[in-house]
Amino acid sequence: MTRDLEPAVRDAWHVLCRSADLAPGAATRLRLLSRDVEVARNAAGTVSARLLDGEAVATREAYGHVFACLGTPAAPLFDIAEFAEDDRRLATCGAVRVRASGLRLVENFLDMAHFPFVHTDLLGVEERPEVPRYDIEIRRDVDEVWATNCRFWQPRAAASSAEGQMSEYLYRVAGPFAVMLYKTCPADPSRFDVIGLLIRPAEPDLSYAYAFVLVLDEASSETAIVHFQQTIFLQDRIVLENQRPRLLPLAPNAETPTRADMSSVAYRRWLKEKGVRYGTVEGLAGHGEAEGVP
Amino acid sequence: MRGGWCPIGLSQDLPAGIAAPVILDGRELVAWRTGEGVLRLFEDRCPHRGMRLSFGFVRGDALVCLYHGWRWGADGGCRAIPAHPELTPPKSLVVPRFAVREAGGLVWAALGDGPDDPPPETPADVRPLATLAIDLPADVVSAALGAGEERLVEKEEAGFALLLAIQPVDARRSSLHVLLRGADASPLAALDAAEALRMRIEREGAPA
Amino acid sequence: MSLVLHDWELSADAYRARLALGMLDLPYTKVPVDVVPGRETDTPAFRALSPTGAMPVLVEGDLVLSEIGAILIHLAERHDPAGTWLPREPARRARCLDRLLFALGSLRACDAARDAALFETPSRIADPLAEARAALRVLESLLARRALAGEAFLAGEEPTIADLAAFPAAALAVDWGEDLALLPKTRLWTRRVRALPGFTTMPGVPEFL
Ligand code: FES
Ligand SMILES: [Fe+2]
Repeated sequence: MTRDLEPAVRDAWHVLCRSADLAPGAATRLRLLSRDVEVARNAAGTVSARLLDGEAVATREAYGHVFACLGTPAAPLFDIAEFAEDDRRLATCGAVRVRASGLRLVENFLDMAHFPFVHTDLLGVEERPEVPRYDIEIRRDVDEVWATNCRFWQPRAAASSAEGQMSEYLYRVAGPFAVMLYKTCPADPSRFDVIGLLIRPAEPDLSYAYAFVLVLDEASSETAIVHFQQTIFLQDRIVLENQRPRLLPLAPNAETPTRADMSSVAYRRWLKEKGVRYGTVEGLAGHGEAEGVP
Repeated sequence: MRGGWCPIGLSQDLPAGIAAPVILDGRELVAWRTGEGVLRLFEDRCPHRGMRLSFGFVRGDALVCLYHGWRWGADGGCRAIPAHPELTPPKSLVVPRFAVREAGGLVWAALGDGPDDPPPETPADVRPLATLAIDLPADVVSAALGAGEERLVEKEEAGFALLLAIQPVDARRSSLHVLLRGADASPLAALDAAEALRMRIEREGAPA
Repeated sequence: MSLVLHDWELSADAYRARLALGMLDLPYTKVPVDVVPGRETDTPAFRALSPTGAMPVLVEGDLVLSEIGAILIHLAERHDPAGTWLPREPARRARCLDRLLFALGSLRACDAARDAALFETPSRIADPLAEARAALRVLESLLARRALAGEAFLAGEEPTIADLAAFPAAALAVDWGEDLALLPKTRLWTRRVRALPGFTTMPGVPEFL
């Protein structure tokens, strides 16, 4: 049933839901990669999942979420080392539905140039829109895309910050549909806050976004942290649902990247090298259910 | 139909300094007016990352994309890329434009190069009433109004002389831009009549 | 008497209350409520404030209000000495209440369509999308009539709480895929509401409006 999926997507780990959404004894049905998956937690607390036609699929529970792999896992679930530091607080924001390719969501997450316009007065101001040069690399050993030395001036970079700062960012694409950033922590400039966006691609042009925040922030309530992230994500969602086409084009001339888009250029190149087609314009013919894609 | 003039709105609903989405024959377009009132019709897609430009905003004589603030001039050319303040955008960076004209309180557009003939004239004694969305394709609406191939028809309705401009939106929707003839007719009562007409068209034209 | 709003940034009803508080220039304290994903509105503590779980909740001294219509009416009656947001003259007041109840009645299908699009929240409305579109068409018709009468707002020349109640339904419609392309009077009216002194925006309200 998963044979038509390319290995780069079939054998990768994808988020299914938050751990908290699955109580002991509960089961729920979710859409992943155009398949129905039933995920359940037994009385002992162990999570399992199967395709609706019966085949069991590999699952992992980590980082406050449940992950699944529809094929044979090509690698262990990506490691987020900061989860081992016990002075950090985890806030999970829950699922937001977005009518767009999950790949578009990742690309938006990697992008700093939109801060002044989409997150005006929160993550950027119109007076300071410049994106200084940053570095980008595809790390072959771990098969990840990294953007480093990213800097951007921000008026209110986190739930805990009241004034502006030159924020420093590291971006990390850990899977085709999993991305995170490490960002100057207002409470302790020697360490980074971690913000992640895990995407469940339900259809090529329909995604569920699960954001999480792993912060060193003792002052803000968990609800305040979640509300801040939800605010940011809903601002992005307007853009994501109104990009045309809804699927990500991999053809180099389909859109117009500039130097600020180096991370997106690298991400697209990486997707292409891996043979990712799900959620791309090029994969449209291969996957049935992308009706309504203009 | 493609290539000919199609009505896309009432002039009064497109004041200076705003951008508005227009769906014509299934195509997503953006109509916008500079601060000075110059009217333009662009493809509703930013060449940078594909964002719909109708979500942007007008600053002076430029249409600014919501996503990264790229500025587009009335000629379709890119004026500025805020992430790179030093960069002069290349001349080749343009948004596709479409022909747009105003006549008698209506805005007309053409998807091709724009016909040589001007859009249809409206009589001098018309007043704009409203735009009515209809949940039926334009050919069904045209047939119900006996409009044939014409995009602009006059219709007597409950004693009012209505001028109806039919906009094909997409496979299931159209818009009627309604004007009223005659200086003494009550516009509010005429709008009642136009809405009653819409109700009738939708009832009769609804697929069984 | 200090005002406290139990609030969720993404709630359309909470936004209605924030709009009114902003337009009336009233200082207030926000208490964030974890509606999604935490379902705090289902906890006994929240139900003590809001028996149905409706949010937001406005607290002013002993007064605890959890119906958005009551919140808007109370704020206008108690905190608008000029009496423009809810006119006192009976006919104008009745017209305002008529549009207010429309905004909080049929037009609320827009909120259901939005909650479904964002969070797949189930609704009592059978087909939220169809009902939301139908209600927006009624809003367009009401506004077209006001325009022909030379009036800029839902209940007359001046904005009232009816406009504040209706605004989030229209302005957040892009969240469920409705771009108002076929509703020009609605688009122009949302621009007028945006331009009012004391206006506050929220995520989802597009810049173009
Ligand atoms: S998509 Fe328009 S400026 Fe980037
Ligand atoms: Fe963003």
